[in-house]
Amino acid sequence: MELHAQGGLHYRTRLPRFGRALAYHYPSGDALFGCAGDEVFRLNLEQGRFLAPLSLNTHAEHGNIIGVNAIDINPAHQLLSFAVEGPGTVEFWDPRSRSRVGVLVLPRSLALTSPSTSATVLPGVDSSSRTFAATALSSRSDGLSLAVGTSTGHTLLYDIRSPKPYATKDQGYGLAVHRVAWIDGGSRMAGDGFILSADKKVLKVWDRESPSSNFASVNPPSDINDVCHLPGTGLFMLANEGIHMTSYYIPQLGPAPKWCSFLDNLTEEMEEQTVRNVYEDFKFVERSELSAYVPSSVVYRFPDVPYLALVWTT
Amino acid sequence: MTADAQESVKVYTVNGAAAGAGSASSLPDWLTRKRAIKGKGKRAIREEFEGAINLIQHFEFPEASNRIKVAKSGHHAIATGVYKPQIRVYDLDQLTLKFERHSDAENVDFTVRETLL
Repeated sequence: MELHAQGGLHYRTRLPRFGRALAYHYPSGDALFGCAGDEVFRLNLEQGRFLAPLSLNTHAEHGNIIGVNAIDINPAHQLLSFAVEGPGTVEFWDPRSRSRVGVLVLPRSLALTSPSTSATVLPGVDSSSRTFAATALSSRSDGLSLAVGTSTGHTLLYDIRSPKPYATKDQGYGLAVHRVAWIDGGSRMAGDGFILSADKKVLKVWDRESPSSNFASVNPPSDINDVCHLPGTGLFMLANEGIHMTSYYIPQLGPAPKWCSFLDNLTEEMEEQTVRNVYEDFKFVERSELSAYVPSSVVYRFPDVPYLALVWTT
Repeated sequence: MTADAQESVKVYTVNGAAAGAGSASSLPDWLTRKRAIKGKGKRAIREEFEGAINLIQHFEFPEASNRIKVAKSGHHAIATGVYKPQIRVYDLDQLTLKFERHSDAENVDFTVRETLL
């Protein structure tokens, strides 16, 4: 754990276990560390010492705790939520009484429908990562909504008063969700219930009212590590496995940030230009129509798959 | 800057490689190859290359990036990456890198402890 200040590295100390997630509780000045193992360590920055860790193992009725994957602090009422790997739960803790106030058991049925749970197990490849757990958490500024990303690539939306998710979204790849976040920003945004979810392959932006359809989805060429949305704008920044970090701008989601307001003009100019359609010289035909364009002897060389065939028409 | 239009919502790539396939182009590989045979390819590729914008300068790491966050004030973006393990802070008002600072170990997670004014 390193503490950096303006002048450079301010202080460095060791954590008892390998860290996984970090959060800072402003009212008390506690830095919270989710680690491998069943404890959440607290380092108080005002007193400059570790406080008694929050010990999750006293409630391990759902299975052994392997680690804490993510920490979220509710911006409205400071409720702490921990994504616990092992039992596959999300634990809620009250920072004032430092005690558990609730536990959310994630629906394990998601793990069964996931494409990652195939019959064959490759040793060393997919043995340890089979545990079903939450991997990302995000609570909304209204204090009631909680988004949970799971290791199976699902994003579940909860009202914290109910143990059942009111919306479920599948990323479709069966890969762990790296980041979920509520897209807030007020009246200039396209809607107020948008949420982003990202796994290694794809970033999806969708409305909580209609989780089955995407508002936008982005497939970057390199694997995503982290996503950051700039509140009140349509700009996303992505940390990824490539050399260049990427940023994407969706004008229909929100305006450009103040520091690059020229983006709005640029994209408006691009809107006016006639967009060259990639497939404008092509026509999509079904297999039954294919004989009208090519001799039937050629048709049967195509693999027998139910996809549409492309025909060059010009 | 390339636009990737799907489901009528346009996504503009303003930094880094365009979404979709390949690195310089979001068009399918076989399509661009065909254009190159017709002699238009070079021009088409150059068009896209010139059209690409890099909103923030030096928005990169030598190998890969781990985490990125924007400060609450909205004026700075902070990112960590490898190799060597480092933190880079971007001044968004100037659209450029402000400073980089190296660390001993690769970053797992970070948070910005801002004074709430």
